[in-house]
Amino acid sequence: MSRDFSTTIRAQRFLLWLSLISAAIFFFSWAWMMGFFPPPSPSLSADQVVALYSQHIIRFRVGVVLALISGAFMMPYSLVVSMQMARLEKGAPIWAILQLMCGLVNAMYIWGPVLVWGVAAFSIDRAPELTLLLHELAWLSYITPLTVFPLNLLAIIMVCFGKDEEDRHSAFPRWIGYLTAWQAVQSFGGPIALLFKSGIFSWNGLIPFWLPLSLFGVWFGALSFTIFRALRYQQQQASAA
Amino acid sequence: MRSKSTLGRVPGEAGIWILIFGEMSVFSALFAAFLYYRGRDVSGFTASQAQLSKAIGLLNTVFLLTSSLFVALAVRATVRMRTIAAPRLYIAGLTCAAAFILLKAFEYYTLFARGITVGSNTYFGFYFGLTALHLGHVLIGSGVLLALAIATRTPSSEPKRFALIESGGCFWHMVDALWIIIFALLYLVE
Repeated sequence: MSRDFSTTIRAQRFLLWLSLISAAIFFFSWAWMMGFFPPPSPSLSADQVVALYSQHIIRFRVGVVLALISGAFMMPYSLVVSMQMARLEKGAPIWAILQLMCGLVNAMYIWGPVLVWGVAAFSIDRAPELTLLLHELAWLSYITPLTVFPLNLLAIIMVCFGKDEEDRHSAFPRWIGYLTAWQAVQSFGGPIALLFKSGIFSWNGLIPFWLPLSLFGVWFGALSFTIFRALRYQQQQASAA
Repeated sequence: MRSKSTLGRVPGEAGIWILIFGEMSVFSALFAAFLYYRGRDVSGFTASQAQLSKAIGLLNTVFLLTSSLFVALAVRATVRMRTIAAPRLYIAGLTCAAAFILLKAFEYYTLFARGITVGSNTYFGFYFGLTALHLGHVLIGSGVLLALAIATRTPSSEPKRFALIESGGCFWHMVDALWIIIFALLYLVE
């Protein structure tokens, strides 16, 4: 009924741990070393932005380096998710492939903006407007490209509700389907940040930043939990066979 | 279908209620923010509110309430395995949703034509922000209604499938309920 990927269980577990540890390093680098948590206001002037970067410029730059090293954490994560999806799909694993495609593109929006922030901090004594431009480019690239994310989540939702496996040991129980659906709905708040420079709809506001980030954290953790649980069960099944 | 087990039964599944309460909490925070900012500039907000057409708002409310009625009837028809009636009722609900979307687009157009946009002032920042966010939910809900219309063409007594269908209906009722509050706050509060 399901494909036998039991030989890859160790690799999947390794990749998932790699992803979690990288994510932790990334968050530490971005949030503390780069100092972007909580995010700066979009209504800062060019001079204020330069002052912000200049405050701890070395720490910022080193933070960028670490964030670039750890920033690919969604790649192995997406692969493990797709592997778990593929073993549940009958015939060609179309939803797993879609998820992988979207996960790949989505992952770029995590480290891409970090690179631009790094460039912003690189020659901080340039004309302030240029630094402001790079700063805004990076922030809006980080917050607003909703683009592939709902598709990514739709694929997961389809497997959650269409699978032929008991929820108890599944990586995709129905409650993950609903949590993912909530995540998908909330993610539509991102692009709105392009229209506001202050308040709840701006890039440091409730709708584009705090909600999507919190929900993403919860979803990322919850799905990691169910995948580890599923891998344990699949390993037991494989050794019993 | 009536039996002791339906007494105290929660419609849909637990998961959809987490989604619904989550979304309502988010919107509640937005409504609170709106009322806070309104409290700081009552005259400005009232003047901006006067630019909106209460008739359009009311008509949109009627559209969504009617669509919710159709969806409730559709879910009931689904329970009764009415494979002709159920899809038609979901489509009827979808048609009302389409009317809502078109009227909302027209309303936006009339505002843009008068030079009123998202950046005009705080009130309209909220107006466009809230209605656009809600519109996103209407679009997603419309997709759900379409999927339900297609799915209910074939009869199935599988309880998990029905739970999913009922959950979709609950999501639509949430969309409707949110609009009623938005309508009251943006158009009626004085």
